[in-house]
Amino acid sequence: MASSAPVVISARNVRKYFPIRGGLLSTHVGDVRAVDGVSFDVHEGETVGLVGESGCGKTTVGRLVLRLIEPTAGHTFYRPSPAVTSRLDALYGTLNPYSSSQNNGGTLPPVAEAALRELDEIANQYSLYRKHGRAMRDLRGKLQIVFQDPFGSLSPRMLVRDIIAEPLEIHHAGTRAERRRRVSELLGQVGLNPEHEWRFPHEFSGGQRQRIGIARALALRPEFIVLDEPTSALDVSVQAQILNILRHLQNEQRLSYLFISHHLSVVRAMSQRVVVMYLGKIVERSPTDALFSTPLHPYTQALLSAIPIPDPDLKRERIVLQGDVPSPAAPPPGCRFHTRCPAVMPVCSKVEPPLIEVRPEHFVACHLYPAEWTGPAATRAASLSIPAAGPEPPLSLSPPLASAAGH
Amino acid sequence: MPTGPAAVPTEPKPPLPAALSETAPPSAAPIAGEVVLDVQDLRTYFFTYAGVVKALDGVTFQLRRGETLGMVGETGCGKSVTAFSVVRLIPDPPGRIVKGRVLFRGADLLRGLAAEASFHPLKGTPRVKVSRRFRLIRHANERMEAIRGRRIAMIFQEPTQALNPVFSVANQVGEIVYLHRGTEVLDEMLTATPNARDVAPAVAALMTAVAGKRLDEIRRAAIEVGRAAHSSRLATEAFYIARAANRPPVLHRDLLAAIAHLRISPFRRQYLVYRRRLLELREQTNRIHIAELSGDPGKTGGKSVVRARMLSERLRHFYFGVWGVRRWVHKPLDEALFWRVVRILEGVHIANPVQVARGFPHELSGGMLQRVMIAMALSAEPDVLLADEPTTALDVTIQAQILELIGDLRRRIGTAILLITHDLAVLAEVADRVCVMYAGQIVEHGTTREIYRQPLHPYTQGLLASVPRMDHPEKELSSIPGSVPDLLVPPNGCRFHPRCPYAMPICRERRPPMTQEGPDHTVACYLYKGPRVGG
Repeated sequence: MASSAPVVISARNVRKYFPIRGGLLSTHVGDVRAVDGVSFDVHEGETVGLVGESGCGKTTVGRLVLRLIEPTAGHTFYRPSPAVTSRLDALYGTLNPYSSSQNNGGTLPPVAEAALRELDEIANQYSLYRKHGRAMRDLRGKLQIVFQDPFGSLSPRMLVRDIIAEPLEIHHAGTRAERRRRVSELLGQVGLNPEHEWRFPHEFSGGQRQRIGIARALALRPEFIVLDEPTSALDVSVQAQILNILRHLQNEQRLSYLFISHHLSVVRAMSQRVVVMYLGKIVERSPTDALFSTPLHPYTQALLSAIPIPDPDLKRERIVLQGDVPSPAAPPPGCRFHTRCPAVMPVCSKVEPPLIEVRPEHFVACHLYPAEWTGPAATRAASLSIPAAGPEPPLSLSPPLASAAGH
Repeated sequence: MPTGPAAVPTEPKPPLPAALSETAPPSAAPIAGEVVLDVQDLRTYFFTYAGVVKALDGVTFQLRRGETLGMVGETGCGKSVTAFSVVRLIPDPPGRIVKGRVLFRGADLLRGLAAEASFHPLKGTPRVKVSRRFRLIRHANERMEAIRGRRIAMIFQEPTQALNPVFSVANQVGEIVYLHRGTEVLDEMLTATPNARDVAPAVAALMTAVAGKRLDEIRRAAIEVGRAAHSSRLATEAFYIARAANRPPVLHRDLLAAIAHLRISPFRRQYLVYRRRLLELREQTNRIHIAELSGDPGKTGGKSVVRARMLSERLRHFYFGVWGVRRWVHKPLDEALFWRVVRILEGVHIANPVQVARGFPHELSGGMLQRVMIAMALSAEPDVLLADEPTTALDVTIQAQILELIGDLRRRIGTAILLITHDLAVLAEVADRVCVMYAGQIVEHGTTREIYRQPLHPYTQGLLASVPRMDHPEKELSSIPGSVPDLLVPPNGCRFHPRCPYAMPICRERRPPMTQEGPDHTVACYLYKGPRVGG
């Protein structure tokens, strides 16, 4: 597993509530719980996929770990040392039993109080959200983002060279001549011609614009890039080009990606580990192969079975979820998925399932899998999961060559 | 899927491995149906300041009853323009269908238009000629209006933008129902009345009157219906609905009939209708008052007095009723129409149809809106449904719901579907046949099975290879180099040759003809030497 590599970004219990204001005096009447306690690590040189339906908080998570928006609670750590990570895990382990009963208003036991204090100290030292001024700005260069909409994320009034050079100027990187060299180097890296730097964004197609966005993100030699649905606005043929570039850059520069997408087949092609979100919560987190071969959470299973496969002969049982995603302003009690879950039980609407490790590295938040359960996952999931892939289809890509030779 | 196809051997192609032929072809079945839509050599150009964009350059395809034809290609290759051209929704200027035929059940929807398209009234053109041409165009438009929405329906890509934000869902769906299925609403209204049995003969008379297309007869029959049902309201509504269903083209003397034909907003139309009815009421009341004053018992009678009171009551209600609250939210007709809308929404598996019908578009999610759009498109039970990227804006789980719904409705109604998408995976699951478009031309066309098993055109191969596969994730993604050409200056010869890995000298010079490479598989590429198809 990639766990041997050092951790680049570590999100712990991150929450973001957007207040709803209403009534006569626009008082605070509720919260949209966009992200509600999300924790994950991204290791060096690794891609973590973040999937879920629209409105489940994927993009908000991406913005939170970069501190593009301020969180309501929780911390994100940049390159925490192993000692810090293990201490954090221990502290959160102590605090977890009390986190759900936060509304009791009662006092916490001394153990938890001490843990909170220690957590606060660690956060003061290392958390991204406690950094200010210079320290934060230096970090911003290490953490970059590629936006979803290549048409909206590039200023129409700036030349491509200015767009790509802007981060360099903000961070005072190099002399003017060096910056210019860097721009043409970056253009080459993303597969654009050097003369393209004199053009405006509107002169490019969607795929080319996304390349410009990637070049801009790469300008400061970042270590971690959030890819916020980088290909969802593109055609499949162009999507493959962009994905290949991203993969190539990752191998070359040992980048870490948080790959946000609702397109599971793309996530599978790109990432080593996958986080599945539903209504602001992580429902499953596991290495990619394990997730796709034996999805444990019913939501993941439904999500996987809903993906169309470009093969007319491969027919499978499809789980079609009924209804829509509930509103995050008033999430259902208990497990948030229970309103649409095909395997719903009475306990689901009452108790919120914790995210537990049911197999090595494979976390799931579902009452189907009690903490002590260690049975073979395959048998449990077999009833709902997609069948294993059949034999390689004879997708004949060569006949034109053969007939071309006969010309 | 029907079960028959497994026995039908439609696969004479030798290179298919035996192991694959054993699996039942899931979609090669219902091709036996008659051709409902036949598009021949369709050319739609956009005349811009920069030059002529040849968005469609000779598109030919056929759509048979009950089948799903998938149309796939990259952005900007003319898929949506094809659909818009078929229902003639291309904005003119700048767009224009300059050539081609669109045969709907054998009738050319573009008859008389293509020739007119190139016509510009020049200085010396005689007026007669100009007006004749305009008349031709008007007739073509009238023909189209009878078919568009009713026989050929359309679903748009962006459900959030296709509905009007200021009208409720019931209002918008109801408008469609009122337009296309008015008589059925009337039927329901009548069966809902308490003394339905007494009304039945009067209704039968009304229906014959509707068939006879005489406005005065319809009116008389409608009044009979109202009398039988003891409801003057019903008489009025019966008349309006019957007339709307019939739409007599000549008798425009009646102002109300004219209102029904006006291309105005529903609000405005409703207002005019009420204005008109108000005038009618006042006239009637006045007449009765005058009859009473003149003391003519023959003209008044006890009944008339009651009626006069009733009328003046309604008049008062008209003046003092709270406008804007009850008046347009609950028109008398809406009661029946509303419940019909609710039932239609139920048909597309909306869980809480009453709330959805009362709601406004911004209150609904994308998947819900797309269901409403499908409900609207299918409420007239059209022969052809043009679905322009119906699931592109939706999540996978919602996409699965919508695709299931469309397939379900197709089986129920037997509609032929043209499914436009850029997602090859979606087509593999739902389409019977697939045509691949590139830069305004169809480059390959065949059954879904053949297209996916044996893609012939290099473009189709490239498209298929660039789809990330759930079932084979380890495969390296290949991509088509370059991007779709600028259609202002399309490449000569085969339009794909600048991106084609097998490009030959001839590809740069002449456009490759469509050749037959299988029983139902044609391709436009010089790599293949099959017999030529068409002209």
